[in-house]
Amino acid sequence: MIKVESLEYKYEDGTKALKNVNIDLDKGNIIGIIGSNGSGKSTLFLNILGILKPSQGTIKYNNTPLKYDKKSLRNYRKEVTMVFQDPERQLFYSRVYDDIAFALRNLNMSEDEIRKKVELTLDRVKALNLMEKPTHFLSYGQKKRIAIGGAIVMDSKVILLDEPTSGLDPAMTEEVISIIKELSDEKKLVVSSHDMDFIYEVCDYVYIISKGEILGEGVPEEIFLKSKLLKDAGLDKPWLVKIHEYLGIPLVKNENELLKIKLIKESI
Amino acid sequence: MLLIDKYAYTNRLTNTNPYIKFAIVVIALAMATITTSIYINLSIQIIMSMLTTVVAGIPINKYFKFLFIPSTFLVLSILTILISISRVDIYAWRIEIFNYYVGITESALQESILLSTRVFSAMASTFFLGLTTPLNNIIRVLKKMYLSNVLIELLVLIYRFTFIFLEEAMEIHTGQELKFGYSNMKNSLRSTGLLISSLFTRLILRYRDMVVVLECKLYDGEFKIGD
Repeated sequence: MIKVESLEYKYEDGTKALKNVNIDLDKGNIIGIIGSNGSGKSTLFLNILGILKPSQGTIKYNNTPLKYDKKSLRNYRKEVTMVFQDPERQLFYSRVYDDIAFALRNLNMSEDEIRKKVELTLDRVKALNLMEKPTHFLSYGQKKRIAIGGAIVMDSKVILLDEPTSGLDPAMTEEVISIIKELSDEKKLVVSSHDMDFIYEVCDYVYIISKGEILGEGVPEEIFLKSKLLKDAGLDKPWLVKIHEYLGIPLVKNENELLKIKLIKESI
Repeated sequence: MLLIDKYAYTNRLTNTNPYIKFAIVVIALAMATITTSIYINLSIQIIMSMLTTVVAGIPINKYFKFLFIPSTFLVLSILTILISISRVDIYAWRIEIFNYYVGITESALQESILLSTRVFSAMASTFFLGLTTPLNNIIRVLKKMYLSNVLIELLVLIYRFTFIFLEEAMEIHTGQELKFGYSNMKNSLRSTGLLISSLFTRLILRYRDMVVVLECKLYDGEFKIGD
């Protein structure tokens, strides 16, 4: 899969946006990249996508270093794609159907095949009823769903999601979580966020990034116990970790498990 | 978002076959261009306006507002055809200023009337298409007519950027207004200047984002529209 090896990225003015970043996407199925605003998450994603070229270090896909000529990049991006933070910027066409079909048309698929795939995708993101709608009529949450759809329709192997839950209401956040969990059965997902509860529930491996450097990494149940590390990165603990620490309740992965414990306790 | 666009997507004729609508409009435009009869032009104009307002259900007051903008240009240009200056009195109606005559000749009057009915009927026809047909459908028709891809791409991009432009401009304007940026003449001028300059940088940023998105969606230099 994808390996980022001692990557460094400098802006034109020489400031380093990323310093010695090492990431291995084999360590989990849903990898979380967490960091405060301006910590370099988005820059890292653009490097992984091959949009930005690292000043030092390499990105390896299936153990071969990324090549930056047009053809290799195009082939690479069939396998690795991204859902951007702001769906408004990602939606391009004015009709939902056309927008999702865009990448497929660029791959010269037949219209029949495209229709099948678009319908399947819209069903997966629970937006089949929006198919004929103009994209600028949609609510923010609906746009987000379509933007995610536009990425999964490509059948890529890796999807990077930049802040997939930012700006969403609780119900929509839950929906995105369930979409992400479903997707992870067949794809590798990389999620950036500073919503700790979300990352804690969804991810199975986490990297903490601060000021362009990886401060720490590990499975969420361990990494979120390291108070100082989180504080240095400008982050907070998920509420499930907090109640574990403050109230001595066993550390669980999500709210449902918490309920189960409660039920078990009551039955005893 | 643009009101015109909203109507295009929500009127009663949105889902009518775009080829039929397009054909009607092309025939109407051709007739208006060829004919020299005022009555044909007037009837085209009336039929098209009826189709747009009564059949498609665009509110009449909004319809006239839309027509008003190009009409002002039209009136100005018709005036220049209508009125002329000469030393010789050849006018049906004139005023005299320092040995010059400023007035309207009979032929200019006839020409102007024909021209304005022609332009209005053409305008009513294009408005019918624009207000009842979403751009995607128009593009589909143009594609079927083998219009060059370059022009279609331009159309797609211009359409997309019109929205980006308006969105950003409105966002900046609201921000400024909340900070009393338009409370008096001096502030308004300054705010307008700021709006223009920050609009420019914002558009460049949006353009950059768009390039990244296009890269991710495997864009290879051609906007594909589909059937």
